[in-house]
Amino acid sequence: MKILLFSFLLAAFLKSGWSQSIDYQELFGDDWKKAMTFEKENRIWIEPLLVKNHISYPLAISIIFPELVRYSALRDKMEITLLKALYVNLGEDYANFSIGQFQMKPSFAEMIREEAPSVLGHRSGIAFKNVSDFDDIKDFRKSIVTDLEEPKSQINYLIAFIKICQKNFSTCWKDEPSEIKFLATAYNFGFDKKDVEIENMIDKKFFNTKLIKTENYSYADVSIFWYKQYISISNPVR
Amino acid sequence: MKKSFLFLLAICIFIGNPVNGQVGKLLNKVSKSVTNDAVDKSETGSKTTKQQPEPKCACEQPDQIFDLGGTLKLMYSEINISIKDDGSILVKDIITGNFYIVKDGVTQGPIKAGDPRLEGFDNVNNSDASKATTSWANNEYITKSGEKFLIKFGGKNYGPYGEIKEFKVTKSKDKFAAVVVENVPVSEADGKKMEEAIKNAKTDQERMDLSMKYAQEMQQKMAQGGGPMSLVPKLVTNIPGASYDQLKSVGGTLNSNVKYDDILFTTYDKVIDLSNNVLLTLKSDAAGAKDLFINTNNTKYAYYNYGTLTFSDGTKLAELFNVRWVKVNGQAYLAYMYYSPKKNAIMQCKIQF
Repeated sequence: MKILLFSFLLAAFLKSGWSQSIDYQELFGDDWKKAMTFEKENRIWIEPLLVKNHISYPLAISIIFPELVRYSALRDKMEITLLKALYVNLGEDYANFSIGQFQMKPSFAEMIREEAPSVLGHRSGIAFKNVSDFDDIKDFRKSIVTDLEEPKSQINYLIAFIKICQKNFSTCWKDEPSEIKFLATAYNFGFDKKDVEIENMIDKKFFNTKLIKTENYSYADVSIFWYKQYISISNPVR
Repeated sequence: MKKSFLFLLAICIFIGNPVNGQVGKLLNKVSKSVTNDAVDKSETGSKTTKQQPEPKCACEQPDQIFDLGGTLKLMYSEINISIKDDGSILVKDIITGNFYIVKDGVTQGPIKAGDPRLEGFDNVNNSDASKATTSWANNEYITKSGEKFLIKFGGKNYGPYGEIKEFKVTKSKDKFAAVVVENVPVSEADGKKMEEAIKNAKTDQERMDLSMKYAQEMQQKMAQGGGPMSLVPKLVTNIPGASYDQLKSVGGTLNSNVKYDDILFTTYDKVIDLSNNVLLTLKSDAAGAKDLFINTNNTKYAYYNYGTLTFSDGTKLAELFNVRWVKVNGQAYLAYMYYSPKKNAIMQCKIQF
């Protein structure tokens, strides 16, 4: 019996240790540092917006942190002028690509705009215009691109995303790290998927910061790495 | 009493908020469905859609590079359209899966997957790829001879060199410039051996002895290879009048794209020729620009960043991409592309520069 218990504990330890064995800060080097700088410099305006919407700051930042790293790594190589023009004129079927600091796709923003009214009240201070508010679909798409290029409007999409997920999937999470893992995966993989599909994707490795793909990492794992770092700095062990 | 009360209640219900709310909802539904119909119509019938204006960077007589109206579709990754440095664009037939290369408005193909002509379309601006070239394995002008490198250019041999730090060739492929080091006291393989040996040493004394031994060996190699000056980077080029001197230089890296058919040094805020003459000092907004272009007289410059080409006189052209040098009738032009909503095509403009 003891042996069985020991084996079980060892397996659990190895499993948890395995997924957290990569030092992402060291791995992503300068790009991690730049992402950290962005987080520190922008906390002053991001945190009050999250507090107003009853969202935990480390939870929200954990979700987007891997994208901040990716943005830092790729920003000089991005050539999205043509992609933007193609999306505005021809739609997401022709060009669907990640934009801005939080690396959101126009298709993601379109879904958020559609579903946000059901989760955001007047008190949130967030209101999105929907496709029916525009005479021309191209103006609607233009407004999406404009929003996604500006972190101050991107944060509204993040808040709406968290609210939508909390409404649709909240039964899945036992604590904040589990919620982060789930939400980070949904952010990266798609929140229009079923909870089982998202759960199954949590440990899958699809995240990288290179144009030519080399090794991939688990998006949720990177999120949790930042979260644990943040918590250990905020609540140092005495 | 009962009847009048019921009537009153009915009136209250009718004019009260709940009913108004329902009407409002109904009206919303109707108006939404109407607007959706309108949107759907405009989306499906492209002729009824309000046309977006041409971007401000559009010129009077642009060349049409690629019509997006047919079955051929641009190949794009998540953040990049597949475009090569020479301006050619990779497109794919969405029906057959064959590839085509569009260059200067001429379509070449069909090309099957795996064809060598497709090489170079998937690693646009990849800094890691440029780092990987320090071994010069795929460079047509550089060969390895033992531990050293040889440059063969225009029928002449240069070298051998212990290390080639930088190597650039002009667009016409008639000029080259390289920054080389004649002798490297410790090769990469030797360095690894030494590191390993020192790491495995058991005592501090042993480590000290190994360090002394390697220092002596390096000194001997330096003496045999031409003294300390052979360790200083120097310029090797077939460009006449080049007199780069590492010790007098303000630094910089070789750049074969900043000026048409020439190779210059670029620093954070300066453009310097190979004779150490400062040709241009950049204003603070252009300092550090990755894609920098200077005109043939060295009097103007332009830099590209995130869709905007900014000139040294402050003029800006927005919503363009793929800025590069082209030569027409012996004259250098700065060419760029943009998307034309009017023609649903990629167009190209040229500016004499």
